[in-house]
Amino acid sequence: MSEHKLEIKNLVKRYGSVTAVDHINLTIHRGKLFSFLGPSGCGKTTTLRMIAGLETPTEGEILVNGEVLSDSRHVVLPEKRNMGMVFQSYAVWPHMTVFDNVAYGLKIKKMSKADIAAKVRDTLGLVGLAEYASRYPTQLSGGQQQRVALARALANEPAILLLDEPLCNLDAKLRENMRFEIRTLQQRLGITAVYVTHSQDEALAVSDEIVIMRDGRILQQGAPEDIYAHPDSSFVAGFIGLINRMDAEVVAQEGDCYRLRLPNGQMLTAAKGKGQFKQGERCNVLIRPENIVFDAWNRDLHYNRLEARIEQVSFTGSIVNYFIRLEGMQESYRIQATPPLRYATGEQAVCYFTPEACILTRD
Amino acid sequence: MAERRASPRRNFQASFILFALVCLIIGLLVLVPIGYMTFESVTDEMGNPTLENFIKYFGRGSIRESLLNTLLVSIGIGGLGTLLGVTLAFGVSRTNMRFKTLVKSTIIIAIMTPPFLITLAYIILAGPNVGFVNRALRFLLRLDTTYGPINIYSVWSLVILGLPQGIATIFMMVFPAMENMDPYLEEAARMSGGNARRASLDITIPLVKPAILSGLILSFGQSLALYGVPRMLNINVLTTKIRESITIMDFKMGAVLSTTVTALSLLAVFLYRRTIRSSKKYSTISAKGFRPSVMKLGRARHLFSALGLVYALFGFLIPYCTLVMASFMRSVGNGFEASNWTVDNYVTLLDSSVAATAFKNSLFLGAMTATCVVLLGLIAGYIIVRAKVRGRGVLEYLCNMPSGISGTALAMGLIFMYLSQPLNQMRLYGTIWLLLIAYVTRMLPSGVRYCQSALIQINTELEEASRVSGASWGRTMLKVTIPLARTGMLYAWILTFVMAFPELSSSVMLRNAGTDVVATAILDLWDGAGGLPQAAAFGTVVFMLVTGLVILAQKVTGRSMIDRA
Ligand SMILES: Nc1ncnc2c1ncn2[C@@H]1O[C@H](COP(=O)(O)OP(=O)(O)OP(=O)(O)O)[C@@H](O)[C@H]1O
Ligand SMILES: [Mg+2]
Repeated sequence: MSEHKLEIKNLVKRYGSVTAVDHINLTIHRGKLFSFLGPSGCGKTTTLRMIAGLETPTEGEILVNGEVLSDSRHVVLPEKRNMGMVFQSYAVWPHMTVFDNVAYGLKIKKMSKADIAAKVRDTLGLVGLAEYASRYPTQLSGGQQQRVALARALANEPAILLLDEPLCNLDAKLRENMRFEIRTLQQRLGITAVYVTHSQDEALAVSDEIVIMRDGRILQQGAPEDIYAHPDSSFVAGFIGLINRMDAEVVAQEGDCYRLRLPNGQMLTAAKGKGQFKQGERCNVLIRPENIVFDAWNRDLHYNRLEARIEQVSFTGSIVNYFIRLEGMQESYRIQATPPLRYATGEQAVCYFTPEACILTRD
Repeated sequence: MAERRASPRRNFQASFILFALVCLIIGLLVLVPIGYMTFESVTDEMGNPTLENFIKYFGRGSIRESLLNTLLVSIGIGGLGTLLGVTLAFGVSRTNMRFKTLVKSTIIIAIMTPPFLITLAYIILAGPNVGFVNRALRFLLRLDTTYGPINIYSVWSLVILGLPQGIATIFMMVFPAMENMDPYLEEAARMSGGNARRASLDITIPLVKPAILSGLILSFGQSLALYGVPRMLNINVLTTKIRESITIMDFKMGAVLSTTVTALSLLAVFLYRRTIRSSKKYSTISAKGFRPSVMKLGRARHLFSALGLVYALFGFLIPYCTLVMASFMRSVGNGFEASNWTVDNYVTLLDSSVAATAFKNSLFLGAMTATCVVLLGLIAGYIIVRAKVRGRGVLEYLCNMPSGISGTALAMGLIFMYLSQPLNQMRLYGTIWLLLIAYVTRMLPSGVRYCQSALIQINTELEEASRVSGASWGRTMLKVTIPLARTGMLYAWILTFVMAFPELSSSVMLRNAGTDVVATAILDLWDGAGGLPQAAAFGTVVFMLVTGLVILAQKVTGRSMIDRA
C-alpha cells in the first residue's frame, strides 16, 4: 500500500534570519495519523502550511505518491492538492450558513444540487451538527464552529487531512470528546492525517505516531507508547508526560544494568537502555512518577530503594501526588499513586522503583 | 456606612453634570442650526408654516439643475470611487502590486488636503486658454485656436477632481477591514478547492461589504458637501447656490437649499450608521499568528500597479508638482521660459497684509478648533465608550451627524441662528467666533472618532483599579485616563488642526472684513486679486504645512493613518 504516501524530504523554511523549519524528513503512510508535538514556535504550523501548499519551502521537497508537490521553485496550488485543513482559528466563513460553509468545496467541484445536499447532510451528521445546517457560525459555540471546520474539511473527501491545533480553544471536556471523534472518523474513513498540537495528552491519545519537534528540528519520532517509554532525551521525556530527573555518575556495569551514584552518594541500579555509557560518565536518570511505589510487592525484582521525607501531598481525584525530598538532594521529586492517602506531609517514607523504570539519557 | 456611600454618589453627580453639559453643547452645536434653517425653510415671511418656499424655488430651472448636478456628481464620485477605492484597497492589502507606499501616501494627502488645491493645479494644467496641456495639445495637433481642446469647466471635471478624495475615503474604510480580516478565511477557501480569484470573490469581498457600503455612503455625503471645487469650476450645484443666495440676499432660497442638502446628507449618515451596525454581525474569533504572504499575481499584478500609479499621478504628483511649479512663475501664460521663473510670488505673499491676517486667523481657528474638539471628543468619547448611561447611542449619533452636513448649509443655519432673536444679542455674526463655532461643529465627528479609538485602547481595568484604590471619577480621569490617552489626543489634536486650517465652505459664508482665512484668501487671489501664480504660492504653503504636520503627527505619536500600529 504505497499510495497516498506523504513524504517530506530535507524540508527547510527560513524567514529572513529565522529558521522556522530545519531539515525535516518524514514519511507518512496512508491512513495513519501523525501528531506534531512541540513547544510554541518550534515550526509545527510552518511545516503544516508547507504541506498544504500555503507556504513555499526554502529547501527540500514534499511528495505525495512520489509526485513532487512542493519544492523551492515550484508549488502546486493549495486548491489542486486534494487536501483538507482545519485551521487553528477554525476560519469558518461568518457570512455563510453552516450548510454553505460545508458545501463550498462541493460547489466548486460542480456537483449536482441534490448530491451536495446529501453529502452535506451526511458530513454534518458525522460531526453531530445535522440540525444546525441553516445557522450562521456566529450563532454557534466555539466547539460547534470547530466541528463545522472539520465537516468542511471532510466533505471534500480529502486524501490528506491537516489539523492545526484544532481543539486548542475548547474546554477540557469537549476537547476530550472531540479528539476521540476525530480519531474515530479518521480511522473509519481511512484518511491520512497530520495533527498539530501543543498538548501531549492529545498526541498520546489520537496518534499512530508522534513527531516531537524543537527549534525546527525533529527530536524523536515513534509510536506513542514507545516515545513515552523510551525517550531519547530529558526534553522529550518532559514534554511527553511528567518526569523526575536526577544527575548521576556511571560507576560500573553489571550485566544488563549500570550501577549509578547520585550526588548524595546513594547508589542506584538502572537497566541499560538504548544509550551506551562508559564508566565515570555523567548521565541523567529519568523516572516517571507513576513508576515509583511505596511497596515492593514483587520480591523477584531488584528494587531500588529510597528513603524520603514527604514534603507535600496533593490530591487530584483519581491520583494522589506526593512530593518527596531525599537527604542531600536539591530538588524534590514527584510520585503518583492511586488513593487512598498513604502518607501525610512531613512523614518519612520508603519508596521503590525497578531498574527498568530508569531511563538514561545524556541531555 | 452612610458616610461611605455618600462619596460615590457625589462623584456620580459631578461626572453626570459634566456629561450633561457636554451633551448640551454638542446638541447646541449640531441640532440648533439645523432647526433654525429647517424652520426658516418651511415658514413664510410672517412665520406661518408653508411648503410654498420649496415649490417656488424648485420651480426654477437653475435650482432644479443644481440639485440634479449635485446628485449626479455625488453618485458619480461615490460609484467610481467605490470601484477604484475597493480595487486599490484590495491591491495594497492582498496582492504583490508595486507602488504601495506611493498609493498610501496619496490616500493620506487626498484625505487631508482640501480638494480645491488640486483644482487650482488642474485649472493651471487644463484651463481652456492658457492651460499647459491645452497649449501643448494645440501645438501637437496643430489646432489654430486659443481655446481648448479640453474644457475643464464641466460637470465631468467636477467628478474627476472630487474622485481622489472619494477614492481615499472608501480606501480608508475598506483597507482596514481587509487587513483585520482573519487571513485564514481566504486560505480555508483555497484548501476547499477554490482558486485565488474565487477566494477573493466568495470570501474577501462579501466580508468587507459593510465597509464598502459605508465608504460609499460616506463619500456620497462628502461629495454632496463639496464647495470649493464646483465654485472654482463654475458648476451649478446646491452648495454654490446656497452661497449665491447670500450674495443676492435671498435667505428663503438659502434656507430651502440648505435644508435639502442637509436632508440628503443626514439620510446618508443614517444609512452609514446602519451599515456600521450590521457589520458587527460578521465578527468571529480572530486568528493569532502571522499574516500570510500576499497573493503572487501574474499579469494582473501590472494592472493593479498601473492603477495605483495612475491614482498617485493624478491625485498627488501631477497636481502638486504643477502647483509648486506655477508658484515660481511670473505668469502661467508664459510657460517654461527662463525669464518666467521667480520667487516674487512668495515675497508678495510675505508682504501682503491680507495674507498675513488670513494666515493668523487660520492658525488661531485651527488651534482653537483642535483644542475644543479634543476636549469635547474626550468627554463624548468617554461617554460613548465607557459610561453605562442610556442615550449614549443618541450622543454618538449626534457627534457623527456633522460628518455629512455641508459647511455651506451649516453656515446658513448659523446665520439664521445668530441673526435672529435672541442670539443676535451676542453679536457673533461677522466675528471670528462664529467661524470657530462652525469649525468645531464640522470637525466634531473626526475628533470624537480619534478620541474614541484612543480610549478603546486603554484597558478598562486600569481605570477600575484607580477607582478601587479610592480615587474619584474626576481624579481617575486626570491621573489615569488622560495621561494614558495622551498620544492619542495629541494625534487627534494635530489632525483636527490640519483639517480645520484650510477649511473653505463655511468660512466663505461667514467671513467678514478682517476674518478672512487662508482658503478664502487663496480663492480671492485666484479670483483676480493676485492671479494664479500667487494663489499657487499660497496653496503651496498650505500644502507644505498640512503635509508636514501629518508627517509630524505620525512620527511623534507613532501612529499611522492607514496601517495598524
Ligand atoms: N510569516 C512569518 N514571518 C516570520 N517568521 C515566522 C513566520 N511564520 C513563522 N515564523 C517563525 O517561525 C517559527 C515557527 O513558527 P510556527 O508558527 O511554525 O510555530 P508553531 O510551532 O506553530 O508554534 P505555536 O505552537 O505557537 O503555534 C517561529 O519562530 C516564528 O516566529
Ligand atoms: Mg502554530
